Amino acid sequence: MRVLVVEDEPRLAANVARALREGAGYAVDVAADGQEGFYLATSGEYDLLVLDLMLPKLDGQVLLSRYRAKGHQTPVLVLTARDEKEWVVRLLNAGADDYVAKPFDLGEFLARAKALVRRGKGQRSPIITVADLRFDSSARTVRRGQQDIALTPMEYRVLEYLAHRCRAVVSKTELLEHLYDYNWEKFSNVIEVYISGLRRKLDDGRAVKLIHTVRGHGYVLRAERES
Amino acid sequence: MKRFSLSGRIIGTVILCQLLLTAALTAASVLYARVELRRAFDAALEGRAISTLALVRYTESVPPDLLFDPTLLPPSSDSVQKDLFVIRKATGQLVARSDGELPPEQEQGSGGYIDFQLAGVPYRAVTLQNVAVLDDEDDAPHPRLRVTVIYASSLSEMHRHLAELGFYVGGTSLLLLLLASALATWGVRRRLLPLRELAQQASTISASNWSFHPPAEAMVVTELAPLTEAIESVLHRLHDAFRQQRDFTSDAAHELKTSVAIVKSSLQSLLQRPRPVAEYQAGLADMLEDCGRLEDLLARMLRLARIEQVADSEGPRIFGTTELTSTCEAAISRMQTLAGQRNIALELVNPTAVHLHADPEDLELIWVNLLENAVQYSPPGSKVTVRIDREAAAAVRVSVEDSGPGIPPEELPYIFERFRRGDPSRARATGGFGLGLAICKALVTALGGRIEAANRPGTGTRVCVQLPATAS
Repeated sequence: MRVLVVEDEPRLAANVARALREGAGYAVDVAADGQEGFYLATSGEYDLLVLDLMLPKLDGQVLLSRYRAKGHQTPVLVLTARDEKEWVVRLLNAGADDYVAKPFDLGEFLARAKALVRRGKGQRSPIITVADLRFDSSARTVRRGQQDIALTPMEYRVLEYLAHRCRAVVSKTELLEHLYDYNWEKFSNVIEVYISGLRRKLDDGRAVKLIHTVRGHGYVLRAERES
Repeated sequence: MKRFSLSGRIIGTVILCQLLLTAALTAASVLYARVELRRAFDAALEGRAISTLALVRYTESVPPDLLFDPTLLPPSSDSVQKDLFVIRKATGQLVARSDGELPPEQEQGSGGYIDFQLAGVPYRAVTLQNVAVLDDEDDAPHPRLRVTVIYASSLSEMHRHLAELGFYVGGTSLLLLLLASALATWGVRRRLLPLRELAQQASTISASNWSFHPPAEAMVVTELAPLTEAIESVLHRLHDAFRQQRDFTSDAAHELKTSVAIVKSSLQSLLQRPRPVAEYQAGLADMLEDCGRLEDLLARMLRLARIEQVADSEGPRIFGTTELTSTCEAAISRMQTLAGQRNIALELVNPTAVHLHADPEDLELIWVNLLENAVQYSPPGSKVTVRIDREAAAAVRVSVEDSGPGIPPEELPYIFERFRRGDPSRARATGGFGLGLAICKALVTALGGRIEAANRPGTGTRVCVQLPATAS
């Protein structure tokens, strides 16, 4: 999952980004003003926007309205120092999905961020089950049957994305867009490395295979007995 | 002071005036009637005296004597008190007299009209002195005999009439007065209704409801219009002050919440998972820096609040004399380190010995804030100048000029407002909080001076501070 944080306060942006990386395992981009934020939000593929309201160059609320006007469906979580009712109503009506009032609790912020990402992908529960695979995004654990499976951070990100889009074919480009932040060089062949790693850890020696390659299209997570 | 009713007083005044009017009217009409009645009374009295005289006739004896024929006596003017009369010859011999007797002192007559009392009853008498007795027959002697007639009638009936007149005029006036009072009461109450509505409207004003709709009636009443306008203008000024205060509170809350959010999120993200000692140390150092900025924000907010509070409560303060140039030099040396880091030169142009009434620390704070701003916005390698110009004997101007990007024209009118800043992220990164210029303005205003900012032609900004100086 990939998140864009639009926040002009550098320290707050760094803290939020660190929390999202370490606490949720997301790829995070940071924009320091409204203009940059709008450019990144409309040019990149994001699973969540974290938006401050008092931004230089382009006001957060204006950014939000323009972003929604362009038809983007990505969930938006707003950081605001104002929590008066009318203000919140205005925010939600402008297209925000949720808000946290400063000074917020980082744990609550993370929980809300994860919930928004889930909902954005059509998942309600933090636990996604495919056959006997149990993917828990809140505890960040993966089990198959009774067995805990240890994944590397990048393998976890790949599986998280596939699990949230389970039973749908996900192209390699889509995976790349949602796994890396802006600063990473994107090489499509590394995806294959992670996929094979996941196959080894999840499917090896089991009758029901979960990760499949759809040739020419991408990958899919679904239960399929090997024929 | 005791409370009193305005309408009560107005009504009271009106009734009192009417009462006086009524009394005067009654008195005047009674007086007039009395004069007229007396004139008529006097005429009637004289008539009766002459009629009585006509009853005196000559006897047929020689020389002829006088006799009185009482059969044709005119009726008394008063039904109760009979008229009194005496007729005497010139010799004093009695010719005739009424049944009742005149008091002895009136028996001689006085030659005109006279008032007297008889047994408590007021009488008026007329004397016909030495009048000739006429006779319609030819046998009257020559010269004719002369008599004196004293005739008196009771005044009580006339007095009774006057009293009745007074009673009716007074009574009618009082009745009218009652009616008029009721009308006045109703009218005054009715006319004062707009005042009551005005009060009603004014009483609905509160901190959450500032709308004031004066009743249309109150606006067209000459006496109420100034009051209504005064309420409106006071309300307007209060609302502005209130809004400013509320904005300040809300802005201050925003800044404080953001600062607290930074510290809190730094702590929580540090605690998110176990880290190497170096990372903890770096995190704690960052947080110390954040706390320093929070402290700075608080100090600036308190300073601003204090300056404004003092300005509001005490009026102009009295300061000792301070030398201006030395405060500029002190400010420049304080800013030298920050300027050096950014490779910016600070220069004092035209140092002049000027004295003014001010607190040296306040002055230094003004220059430090202006320099801080100038240094933040100047490109590295440029120069910031502080220029002192003696404008007149009692005025001095200090200008701080930089070669920065200037201030966007649409921002210029607002830069001295609290929490206003051209580029929030940049100002916050350098600890500006948008309070520096607001503090400058508050200090300069407290000193009775003026502060203005303008973009220099070409590039950069010039902030001018004009202060009253002591004449030298």
